[in-house]
Amino acid sequence: MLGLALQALLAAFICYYVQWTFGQPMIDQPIVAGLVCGIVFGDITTGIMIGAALQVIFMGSVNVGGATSADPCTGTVMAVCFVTKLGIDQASAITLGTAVAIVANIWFGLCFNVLSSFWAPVTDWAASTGEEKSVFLAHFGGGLLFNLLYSLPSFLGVYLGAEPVANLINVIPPTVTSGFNAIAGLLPCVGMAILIRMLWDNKIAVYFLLGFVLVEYLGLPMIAVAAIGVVIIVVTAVREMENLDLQKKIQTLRTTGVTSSATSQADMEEEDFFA
Amino acid sequence: MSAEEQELTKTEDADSSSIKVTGSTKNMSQEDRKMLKSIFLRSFNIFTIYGGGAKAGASGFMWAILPALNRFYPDKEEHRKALVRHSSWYNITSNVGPICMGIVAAMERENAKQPDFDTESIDAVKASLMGPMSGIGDAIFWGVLRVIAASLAVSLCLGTGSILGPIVFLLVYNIPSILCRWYLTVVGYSIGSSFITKIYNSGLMGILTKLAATLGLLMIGAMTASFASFHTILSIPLQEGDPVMIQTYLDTIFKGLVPLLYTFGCLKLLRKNVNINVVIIGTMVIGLALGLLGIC
Repeated sequence: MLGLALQALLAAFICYYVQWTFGQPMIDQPIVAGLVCGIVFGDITTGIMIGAALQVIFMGSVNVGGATSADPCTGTVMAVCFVTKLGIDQASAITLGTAVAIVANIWFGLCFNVLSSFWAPVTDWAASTGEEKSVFLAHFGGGLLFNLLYSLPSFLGVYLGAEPVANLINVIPPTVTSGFNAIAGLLPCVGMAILIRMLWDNKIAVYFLLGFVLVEYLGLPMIAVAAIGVVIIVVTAVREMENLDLQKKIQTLRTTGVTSSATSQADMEEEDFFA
Repeated sequence: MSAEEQELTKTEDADSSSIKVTGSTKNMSQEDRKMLKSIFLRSFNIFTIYGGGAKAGASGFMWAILPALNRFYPDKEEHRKALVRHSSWYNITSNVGPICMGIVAAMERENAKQPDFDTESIDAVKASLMGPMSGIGDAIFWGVLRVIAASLAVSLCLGTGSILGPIVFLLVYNIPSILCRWYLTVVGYSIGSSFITKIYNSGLMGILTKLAATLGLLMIGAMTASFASFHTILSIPLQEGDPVMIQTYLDTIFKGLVPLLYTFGCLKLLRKNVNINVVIIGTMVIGLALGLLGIC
């Protein structure tokens, strides 16, 4: 199991390290992490399939402003590992991965927000020396250390969890498996709800329904929906810009020209009226 | 067009031409270009270590702004002081942050030139940029671009495991992200500090956010329809002929009714500040119960 656990550590470390060190190219998102795990565990197709399924669930999970809600990367590593190496079925693996992602986030959040604060003196030291070399050391050394810490749950999860899970899968009854399938179907709703909450605005909420109907009833592929979206925002943008222009003109009129010209216009109207 | 209107457009033109925002380095010196390139490349490393509540991206910012400090402060002590100034908390969405780096680089140049420059204004600008820039950056990059990239990619590889999925995801997300980094570095340096508040007050930001949210919601609707699923095996047995499938009835009312309602249910719970993990675990329990009860 140690060998397998080390593979898991490697997969997780690659994802975290590249994500945080090279400008957040989103490689730790499940869909890409699935590919990385697939390469490490030797089954790319399965890796991507599981990654894609978990991506949908954790679409709404974002690490912004230091707040973390889940650690989908660790979940993906464990799910792919268990499917490719222990042969559990995908729906169960996806449920497992989701649960792992939630639990592992406790550790991730701890490292990310609390433990990393202990690195602050090193950063301050680097600044006080005024040397580029020490800034480099403090910055990249700390990065190496913490990305390794982020990857620990993957290692421990596989090292400690592989055997119990392998024993468990032989005794799962079919009703539980269909329950797992139902979970895999409903979990994306939660992911989408998180996203909707981020972007919801009563005035534009109908576009959500439009997207839903376009796919559910017309069966359009995503790229077509995106193209329709582009048309909509271009049209909206043009109108909004015109609106903004008008508003600005009104503003300028109010503050500057309006008094003199309006009085004259009012005068003119008055003259018309009396004429 | 009346004389008044002409006057208006004229003043407006004058307004917009007095402030030059450029994303091109054509008119910049060789040295400027070299420095901006260096800042741009280093901006990728901003969160190599995320320093938690105390520092966030402070060491990354120090690392990224060093090319400017090295250039403008030949004096060692001045250089050191500037570096210490930048060791305070910094956090802006990774791909939008370069605008702050560009602006700060421009301000450090002024500071090096003018002895009476108020260095506090540099910190103030940095601090005032963090909120709005992160707000719009998170919404556009995390909330919309990542979601669109993922929705296109997942539809390519869900169930098939095609390698096109991850590749499309990375390309769709990263090409705009990297371009944005470069242009914002240059724009930030060329405008300095004064202009950003002007853009912010002009209402353009509001429009941009609204457009992003529109596209985002459309795609989320499409994703809910294609990725969430519910299929009940419940049926009403008839004495004659085939049993009536409940799922068929549900589909007649509105296709995808259950996932749609479930999504809104989750949204409602989240709005009431129910913890996300509670909702996820609750979903697991519900799903398992559906399986055990023979509904799914």
